[in-house]
Order: sequence, then structure tokens, then C-alpha cells
Amino acid sequence: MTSNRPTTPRFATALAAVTLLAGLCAGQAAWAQGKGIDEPFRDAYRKTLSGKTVAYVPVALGFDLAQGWLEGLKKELEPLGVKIVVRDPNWNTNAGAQAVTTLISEKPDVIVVHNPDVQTYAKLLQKAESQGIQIVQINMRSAYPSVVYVGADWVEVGEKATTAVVNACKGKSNKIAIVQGALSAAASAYTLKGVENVLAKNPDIKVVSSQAADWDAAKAKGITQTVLKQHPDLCGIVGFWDGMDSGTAAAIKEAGLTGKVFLATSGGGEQKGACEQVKSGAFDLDLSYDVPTQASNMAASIKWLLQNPGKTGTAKGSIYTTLIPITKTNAATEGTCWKLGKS
Amino acid sequence: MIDALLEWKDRLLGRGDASITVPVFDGALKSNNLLEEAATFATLGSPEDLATDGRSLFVADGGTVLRYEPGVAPSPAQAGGSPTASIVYSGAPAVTALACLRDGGLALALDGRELRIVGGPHDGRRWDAVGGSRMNAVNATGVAPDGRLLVTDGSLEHPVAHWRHDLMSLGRSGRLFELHPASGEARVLASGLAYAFGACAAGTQTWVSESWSHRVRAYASGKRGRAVTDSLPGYPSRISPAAGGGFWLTCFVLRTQLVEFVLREPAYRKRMLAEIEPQHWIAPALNSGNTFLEPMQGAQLKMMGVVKPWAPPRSYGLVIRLTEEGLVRYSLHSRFDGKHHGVVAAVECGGDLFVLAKGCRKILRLSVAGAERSLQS
Amino acid sequence: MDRTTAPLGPAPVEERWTDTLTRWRYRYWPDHALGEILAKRWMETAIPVIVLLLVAFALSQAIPNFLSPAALADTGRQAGEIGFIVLGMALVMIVGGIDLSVGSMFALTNFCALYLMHVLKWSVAPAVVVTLLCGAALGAVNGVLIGYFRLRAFLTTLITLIIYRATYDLLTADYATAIAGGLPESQVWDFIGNGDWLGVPTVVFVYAAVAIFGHIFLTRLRPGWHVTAIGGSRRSAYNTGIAVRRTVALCYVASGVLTALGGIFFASRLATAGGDIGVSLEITVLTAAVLGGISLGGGKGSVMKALVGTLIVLLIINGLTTLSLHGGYNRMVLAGILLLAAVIDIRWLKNRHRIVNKVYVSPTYHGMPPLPSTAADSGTAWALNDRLRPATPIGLGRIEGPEDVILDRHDNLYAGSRHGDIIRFLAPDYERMEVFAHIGGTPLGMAFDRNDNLYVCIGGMGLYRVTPDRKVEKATDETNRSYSSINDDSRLRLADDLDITDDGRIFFSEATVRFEMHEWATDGLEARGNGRIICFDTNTGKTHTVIRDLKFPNGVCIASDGQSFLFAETWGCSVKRHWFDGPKKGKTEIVLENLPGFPDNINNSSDGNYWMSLVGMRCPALDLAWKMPGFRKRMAKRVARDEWLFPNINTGCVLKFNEKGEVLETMWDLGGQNHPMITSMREHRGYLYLGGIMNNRVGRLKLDGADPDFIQYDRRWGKAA
Repeated sequence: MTSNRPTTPRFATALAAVTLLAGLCAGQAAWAQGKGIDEPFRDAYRKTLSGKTVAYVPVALGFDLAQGWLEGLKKELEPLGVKIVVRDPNWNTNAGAQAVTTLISEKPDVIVVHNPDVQTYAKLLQKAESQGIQIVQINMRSAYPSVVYVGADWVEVGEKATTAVVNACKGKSNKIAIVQGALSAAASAYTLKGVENVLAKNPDIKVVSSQAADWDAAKAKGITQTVLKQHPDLCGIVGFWDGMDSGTAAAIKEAGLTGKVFLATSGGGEQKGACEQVKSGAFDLDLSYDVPTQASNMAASIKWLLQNPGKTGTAKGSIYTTLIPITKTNAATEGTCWKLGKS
Repeated sequence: MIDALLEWKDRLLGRGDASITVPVFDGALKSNNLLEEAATFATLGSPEDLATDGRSLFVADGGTVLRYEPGVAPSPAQAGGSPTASIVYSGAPAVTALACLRDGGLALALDGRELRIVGGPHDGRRWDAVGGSRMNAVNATGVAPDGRLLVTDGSLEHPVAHWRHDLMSLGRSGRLFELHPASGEARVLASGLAYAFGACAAGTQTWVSESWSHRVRAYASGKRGRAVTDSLPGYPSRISPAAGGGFWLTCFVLRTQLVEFVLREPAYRKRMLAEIEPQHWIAPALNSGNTFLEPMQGAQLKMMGVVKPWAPPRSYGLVIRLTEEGLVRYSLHSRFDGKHHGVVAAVECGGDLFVLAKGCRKILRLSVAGAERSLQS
Repeated sequence: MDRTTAPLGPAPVEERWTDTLTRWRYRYWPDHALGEILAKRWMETAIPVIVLLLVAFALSQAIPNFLSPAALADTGRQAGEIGFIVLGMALVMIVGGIDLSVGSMFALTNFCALYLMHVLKWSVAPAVVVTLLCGAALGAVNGVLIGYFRLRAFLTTLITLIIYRATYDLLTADYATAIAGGLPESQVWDFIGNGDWLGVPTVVFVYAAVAIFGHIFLTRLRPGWHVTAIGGSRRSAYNTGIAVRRTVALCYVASGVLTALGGIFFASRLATAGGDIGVSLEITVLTAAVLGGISLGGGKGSVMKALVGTLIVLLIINGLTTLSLHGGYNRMVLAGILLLAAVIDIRWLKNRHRIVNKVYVSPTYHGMPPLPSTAADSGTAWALNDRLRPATPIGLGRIEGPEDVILDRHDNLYAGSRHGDIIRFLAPDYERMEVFAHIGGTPLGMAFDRNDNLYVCIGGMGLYRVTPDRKVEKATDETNRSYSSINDDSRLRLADDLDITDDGRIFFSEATVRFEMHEWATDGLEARGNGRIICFDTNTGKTHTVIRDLKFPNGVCIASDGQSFLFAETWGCSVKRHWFDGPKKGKTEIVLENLPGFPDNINNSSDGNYWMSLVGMRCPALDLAWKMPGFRKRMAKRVARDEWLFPNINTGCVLKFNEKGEVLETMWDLGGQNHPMITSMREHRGYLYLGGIMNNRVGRLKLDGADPDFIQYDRRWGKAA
């Protein structure tokens, strides 16, 4: 059956299809241009942060905590054009006070301050904030609460360390020693409170010695040597900083009591200072407050503060670091500790 | 380069070689009054040099050469006066150097320009030039054991009487000759010396007094001169052999700090030479204290009528006895407060030392043994 | 020996153009200023001050805002605290000791203040007082051990350092947290540490007060002199009766009190009782003291030096910390600067006198015309002769150094001696001699006034008079200070000769203001016009300078008109006349110039003329040297003083001249047997009496044809014989 119907509708369809296709393509192309939404906040962000100055005053620059914090700050802030100015008092309280005073007159935007004790910088920090400089306190805080504190919860550190020592002392002589840092430093005084809290619940534990080693390893070693001579059956020592307690551990090793005396300490969690020491048995427990985390916490606070200068009002807050207990079980695991210079 | 810098620094600050310190009189050179106390043998008009042949004493006085016999006691009529002398030579030009030859005869330097032999087997031999250049200021002659004459010529620029001019102009043109009376040969042994004034034979070497360098130098055949005695406190002059080994070295003037200083001040020296008479210069002299026009140094002040004998002397009398190696054994002095200054020659004859003190124009005589005894006590 | 002087030879007559240039250069450039400035006492602190300025400048360039008022105020605060301790240490060092325990004392007193304020909550005044007493007690321990028990300071304070430190450690172990817990609510306390007045911190005011008192104490009060004396030589101080032990102990107590004062300010400012307070503070304080120039050996030091040292140390420490330098470098740099400064300072202190001596002598151009001839055959009045040969000696060997001689109307002879006596020889034979009066110094020119008081110029002391009954009284020893002189020229160094006017004014010469009496020859070497004529009015007692810048003025004689006086200038080789009254008042004219020698005293002669002595004679070498100041300067530096070219005062003469400037006759002693040098001559009753300052006799010469009744001062005052 053949009919003589016309072929036009097939051609029209094809034409329509081609046109449609072409139109679609064109339309697609048209969509691809100028249809994204600009993020309106990033320019202001970059512009605000660029050119700001952050001053950094640690207790000293020559040890792992201070250097780790500085590295972390630099990594986060320098790419944004923030200038980081460092002052190194080299363990001298007076020089530190002098540095902070001079900085106040130089008016940076933020000062990151590491307090050698709770008293010295208190008035200075108050004066700084009254002049519009924002103060971030790291790890050791002052009696004066500034806008942000980033650091360990020392009472918790003390409690956890002492609990571990008390548990290790079960069935032994129940004599422990405490090696403090600098007496009026936050890290020391508050930690001691945590220690006392736990000891109050364990009246049978006797503290045979509680002396201050001023964060100095040699002094710590000397104190520990004396204590071990007097009490060779000591079952545990609570040290307040792993940097100093390398001396404590050395004294224990010299007395041949490694493994018999449980040494609990705390620190920044650096590979060499923490994990290696725990691996080797020098420390039995090292509570790490993980410097890179603290640094990034600081950087985050600073970024927020720099965008809101003068608008913080009476806001004050603390960011306590979560502790990572390092023991033999996790000392060898990659990632438990951080490496200085490699972050 | 470094040396030049150091030298410049030394000159600027007056240190090292540019310093003006003068050796002190100490040890064997410790001061005494032996020369001042020595007896006067003769007083003359213008004596210039002494020589001896072991028995007689020959003195050059002006143009005359006198001969004394010191062993002969003076006759009663002459006691208190000068001893008798016979005239051996007389002429017009002044005799500036005198020596006795071994086999007889005298060697005379006439006015510093000519050396002539008078008497003896080589009589008549004369030289007035050596090695192509003329003699200018022949001031001393020594005789070697083999008969050679060792002659010093002080300077090419100034005559004998103007030794002060040579010192103040830092002269360095002295020469040492060796003359053979027998053959007439003449040879220059050394030249460019800072005023040669006195030569004698010492073993195989020839010793010459290099005055302005305040040292005695030794020359051996073929070798360069080396210093025998250096850093003398005075400017050495004629040397003569001593009986029993060693030598008598005379120092005709002494070094002082002021003169050393002026020698290093070219501007002042130039004007001084141009504007002031030589006898009033800041320079050593054969005698002093004649007039107030001579410059005075601080320590020369008379206090309570007394003058310090150890004051820096403008003139001085000094005879030094050297050993055969050139070490100082002892010395005879006439100090600042004395008169027997300007010793230009000393010869030993018959156990006595005859000293020519040109400053007071006297010949002094003292016994060597007596001097050594009083030095030991 | 040739006695006559040779005729002068090749001598140029006109001044060379080089000499003219030299003359101008030396006239207009004040070479002498350098030496005089360096000789000032405050130049000792020069080096530390220069270091301070250099450090301040360098740091202000390296650090922006380093010298801004805020930064300076803060530096001032710190400087005040440490400054007190440095003052204490300086005091202890000056007394000859050392206090190493200041660091520990600082910590303990700081703790004491904090404990009283924070824990016991006392009010400010008692707390301050008790803290100061605490410091005193700590210092007293040192003081008793070192002052009374004579223990070695270094060891003792080292031990107390340890003991105090241990005490502090024990105390803080118990109380640190308590202190940290309690902030005192005292405005006054806060003001002490952190307050300021007119922008200047409180501590600076207190420090200034303490420092001023300390300066007055050390320099003007007797206890301060005792401290310096003990430091200089403990044994000698003890021998002179100073209470050595008590003073030393009190110095250590003072050190403790000052440390406590610093501790109070520190406690108020920082309120910290940390473990490292005061550790190594003694090093810093010692550095500050030594940098400032306080000698470790004792006996030398001042408050100014302590202050300068404190500032240097603080600026360096603060500057280096602000430069973000690693803490260790701080110490190294400080130690390096200490080493350098101490070396330079010690060398400067040791060699300062030598350097000053070398730099002080500043010869200048002094051109004289050619020497007139003194040859015996020259036919001039200067021709050499032997006319003084017949002079007979008086007191030969018994009197030393009669510079001037004078006789009274009873013919007694008075002469000074170098022992400071006026010796009287009794007429008529002058064999008996006695000490008429003892004054001291070196008696020089003499004159009688109307009332027979004997006025004497004493070299080294001034103008004195001896009454007829032998009482010694001081007439004057100072004059008005001229403002153009760096040296203090109100003092009289070398009063030389005098004469008295008819109305009671005394004109006397002061030979030089730049040198002491025994350095007369150095003044001759300088040939600068350093001398002056001074007038002392006996009616009013006032002294003032009449003529300045004279070249060693010496003899003075009132001229015949009573309105002028003649004076001789020794190095100027001239005699001038100055009118002080009448129509020509204020003028000065030349009477004699280009003398062949150095004129000394002038006195009247019986025939209306004047006698003058030439104490020495010029020589060509010195004349030439006077035209070449560079030559003389080098000679002064390199040649030993005994060997310098001196003006020749071994020969002198006496001459008679008139007011018209004619030399009438001269008298010499050739050969210098009797009178080699003559400084003065006095005509009296037909004889001439000769004196010489370095001679051991007085000479007496009969003058033919002289007035046998001539007595100089009777004639002057119109008294009959």
C-alpha cells in the first residue's frame, strides 16, 4: 500500500529537534556564564586581617611548647598577611614584664602572652586591654582574666596525674613525691590544687616531698635524687612538666628505680619530649595538651578577634584543651605526638 | 709594606727605632772620676792625635809632630812644667791623624786630604785618593801586625774640623781604607759609614768606630761588617790596642736625649745649621761651659752652687777598655762637672795610659794598673 | 778656654713669611684649651658618658620610638629601681669592698614588702619603714662581718648571697601562693610603683633626691670624705683617726637600705615573688658600676658614674630585648660591652694624668729680634765684665734660695729661704742669723710699707705680710675669676714680686696661671702669655686683676712719678711701664725690649734710676726653638723633662737702667763662681745686696760713689734716715 502522503512533518520534526537542541546548547552555555553567587564576606575577611600585628611573649623561646605555638600561629596567620612579632625574655620574669610594657606602647592588635606566674603581668594585661589591645593567654594564665584563654585545665591535669599515681601505688609503700614548677605559676599552683583534691580522697597516700623545681630539669633531678635517697621505696612522683621531668626521670634511672617509681607528668606532647620518653620508660604517664591543637585554637580565636576589634565588650572565655594521656599503649602510635618543625 | 707602616707609626709616636732613649751608664760603664783625677802630662796648643811605638809617645800638635820619652823622668828645672819634647816633623797643613809604623817611620794625615809616610823604610810614600775618590777627612790611622795601614776617612762632605756639621746633617759617607806601605796599594774596605773615626786590627778582622751609629763594626775579608759593640752611650772615636789583649776605645762626645731628638727634627736642624754658629748648636762638643750662648738642658741647672755630675753632658771624657771580643771590661770617665773632656785618642805606653783630652788640650797620664786597682776596690 | 762670646754669625734679620704664618696660626687657635679641659675633674666620667650617648643613639636608630616619652618613662622606672642598688654598690665599692649579696637582699626585701602588703594587709607607711629596716638588717650582717670582723668582702658577701637566697626560697615556698592570691587595694601603693607626675615616674623623683643627697654626701660632707679615704687606703685612713670599722659597716647597711628601697618600688610595680627574682642581679649591678667607671679597687667613684652606668646597662638590656634578640645574646652582648668599656675605662683612668701632661703643654710662637751682642769687646753697656767678682758672701751655705733681699733702717738683712722662712741677718756683720717669720711656700719678692709691715709674695700661696712684731697675716690669695679662662685662675699660683703705691695699693705680679711654681721652665717652654699683674688694695681689702696675658711678669717697681709702675716680663725679655693713675691711666708702654737675657726683680737705685737683674741669658738655640712651637711640643712629649732645652739661668747679671729705656751699666760674675744666677739686688747705704733663688748665699758688693745714706723704702715713704 503506498500512499502519496507528504514527508514535511518528518522534516519539520527534525528541524524542530535540531533547533531545540541548538537552543538547549545555547541555553546551557548561557547558564554557564554569570550564574554563580559571589561570597560577599571573604574580601572583608582578607582585608581586615591583612597588616594586623600579633605579638607573642612566651616565658622563653627556647623550648618545645613555645616554639610549637609559634609555628602553629605562623602557619595559620602569616599567609593572611598578619605580622607576628616575638619577644624572648629567656626565663626572666622582669624582662618579660619589660617586654610586655614596651609592647603596650607599640600597640599591636593582639598580644599572645604566656604568663610566668599569676601575678606579674596582671596589671599590665589590664592596662593593655583598656587601651584596646586584645590579650590571648596561652596555657599559663594570669590572675587577670583577659578576653581569651587557651590552654590546659590544670586542675584536671593534677587530678588525672595523681589518680594514675595513686592507682600505681596500690599495694606499695604509698609514698609519693611532688615535683612542682614555679610556685606562683598557673600551671603549678592550679595543678597542685588538683593533686590535693585527689589526695583528699586517698588519705593513706603520704606526700614525702613537695618542692618547686622552677621548670628547671637540673633542679628537678637534684630534688628527686635527694628524695630517692631518703625514701628508696617511693612508689610514685607527680611531676608538673615533662620538659623539667626529664631530670626527674634521670634521677630515677640513676637510682635504678625505673619502672618501680611511677612518674606521671604533663606536657605539650612533642615527639621527643613526650612519646619517646614514654616509650623508653622514663615517663609512665604523660598528659599531653597537644600543642598543635592549642595553636590552632589560638589562631582561630585570633582570627575571630581581629574581625571584631573593640566589640568584644565584657566577653571573656576560656578554651580548655582536651588532654591526651600518653602511656606505653599509645606512645608508639603515629599521630599521638607531634613533631617540632614538621607541622 | 708592613715594615714601612710600622716604621711610619714608630716615627709618628716616637717609639721603637724613632725613640730617643740613650743607654745608661751601668755595669762596666758605671761612672767614675778616674779620668778627671788623672795627672796632666802635657798641655798643648791644638793637639790632634797620639801614637806610640811602645817606648816613645808621639803627639800631633797643629802642623807639628812631637816626641816624648815618658820613661825619662823630667829634670828638676822642668818639674811642674811640660816634659821635654823633640820635634819630629813640622809642616804647614795640620796633622789630623798619626800612627807609628812597625818597622819605623810615622804615617801622617795632612789636613785630612793626604796620607804621607815620614821616616822609616817607606819614607815619602803618599796617597791622596783611594778607589777613585779623593780623601777628604782622614782622621785616624791604625797599624795592622802585618804592616798595613787601616785608615778612616770621616766624611766626603765635611772636613775634619766640621765633624759637628756631619753629625747634624746625618752624614753617612765615612770610609775605611787599607793601605800597604810596602807596595803602595790602596783598597776601600768599607764605605757609607756613618762617620768612621778610628780603626784598628783585631786578629783577622778590622774594627772601625762608626761614630754616628754609636758602634764599633768589624770587617773581615769578603764578609759584611757586623757590629762588635753596639748601643754605646757615646759616639766612639779612635781605637788602639791595649797591652795584654783588648783595646782602648775612646768616646769623644756623648749622646744625650736632646741631641737625639734634634737629630730627628729636620725642620729645626735645617734652620739651626743656617742661622746659628756651630759652637752654639744643640750638638755635642769637645768642651762646654764656656759661654751662656750654649744651649742648656734642665738638669744642668746649678743649685746651691753645685752642679750634678750626672747631668746630661754637652761634653764628656770617656775611655773604654774592651776585651778581645769587644765586650766592655771597664771605663774611665770625666763627668759633667769635670774638665778633661773630648777624649779623641788614648794609647798605652809602658804601663801608662796616655789620653788626649782635646777639650782641654791636655795629654793625661794614668797608670793602668792603678786604675784597675781602684776600680776593683 | 774662650770666655768671650763669639760674634753672632749668619743671622737673618727680617721675620720669615713662614714665621708670620706660624705666628698667626698660634695666636688664633687655642691649643691650650684641650689640655685644660682634659685636666678638669669631671672629665673622668667622659668615657662612660660618651658610651651612653653612643648606645642611646645606636638604639634609637635601630628601634623606632625607643626614645619616646613613654618608653623613656618606662626605662626611667626600671632605671630607678636598679639605680638604687647601683648606688648602694657604688658606695660599697668606693669604701673598698664589694657586695655580691645585693641580688638576694633585693629578693628578700621584695618578699618582705609583698608579704606585708599582700598577706598581712598593712598600710603603706609602716610597710615601707619595716622593709627598709629589713634591708638595713641584712646589710648590717655584711657590715658587721666585713667592717668589724675584718672578713674579706668578696667571700663574705658571696656567703650571705647564698644564705639569703636560701632563706628566700624557703619563705616563698610557703607564702608565694598567698602573696599571689591577695592584691592590696592601696592607691598609694599603686602610685609608688606605677604612678607618675608630669609624665615622670615617681621612682625617678625619689632617685633624683637620693642621688643628689648622695652626691653632696660624697663630695661635700665629712663622712663622705671618710668613705673615699678608707677606699683609697684603709691603713692610712685608720692612722689619721677615721673610724674605719664603723664607716665600712655603715656602708654595707646603706647598701642594704638602698637595695630595700629598690625592692619596694619593684614590689609595687610588678608584685611578683617568683623564683628568679634577683638572680644574677649582682652581675648586672656590678656591670653598671664598672661601666660607669667606679674603680673595683676602691677610693674612686661618684654618683654621676653610678647613674651613667645604670643607664647604659638598662638601655642595652631593654634595647636588645626589644630587638627580639634571643635571650642568650642579651647576656653575651652585655658582657662584651662590659669588657670593652672596662678595658678602655681602666686605661683612661690609669693614663689620664699622663695624657693630660702630654697634651697640656701647648707651646706657642714667640719671636724675638736677634740677640744683642754681649761680647766683652762690643763696647756696648752689655759688654761682659767681672764687676761682681768682689762681692762678699753673707750666710754662705747657711741660707738656701734667697730670691729677694731687703734691709730695714737698722741695716738688718731679710731674705726668704726655700724652707718657707724669712731669715734675718743681724747687722753689722751679718753673721748671726735667725728665723724672722715662718710662712711656708717659697718667699719671693718683698717690700716694706709705711708702717714697716713687711709684705712678701709667697710662691704657691699668695701675698702675705709680716708685722713688725713678727705676726704673719695673709693679705690675699685670690683674685677675680676671669670668664675666658678654663683653668680656675682665681687662685694665685706664683705671686712673684710686688711694690706698694703711695696710697696703699699693692701691685704684684703673678707669673703664670697655667703652671705651678716648680714648673716655671715649662712655662718658659710654652712662652704663652700666662701671667698677670694684680692689684690688692690694703684700704678696702679687695683684689682684682689689672693686666693679663703677660709672658711671666716678674719684677714690679713703682716709678718716679708715683702714677705708674715698671714691670719686667721674664720670657718677654722686656720691661714695660703701666700707668694706674693720672692722665695716662690705663696705658702701657715699652721701656726696654729685646734684652739679651731674662729680667727678674726691679728695685730703685740711689741716683733715681733702677736696678734690675737678669736671672738668665738668652741663647740662639732657644730663640730659634721659640719660633718653632711644633718642635717644642714634640720635645715636651718625647724628651724627659730633665733633658729639655731650658732657659739658661746658670748665668745672670745686674743692670742699671732709666725710665727712658737706656741701659746705663751692667755687672757680671763670669764663671759663675759666686753668683751664677741673680734674681734680685737691693741697694742700701752704698752697698748692693744680691740674691739668687738657687743660690746658697746673699752677696754684698760695695758700690763706688753711691749714696751712703740710701734706704729704699725710707726714701719712698719720705722718712728721714
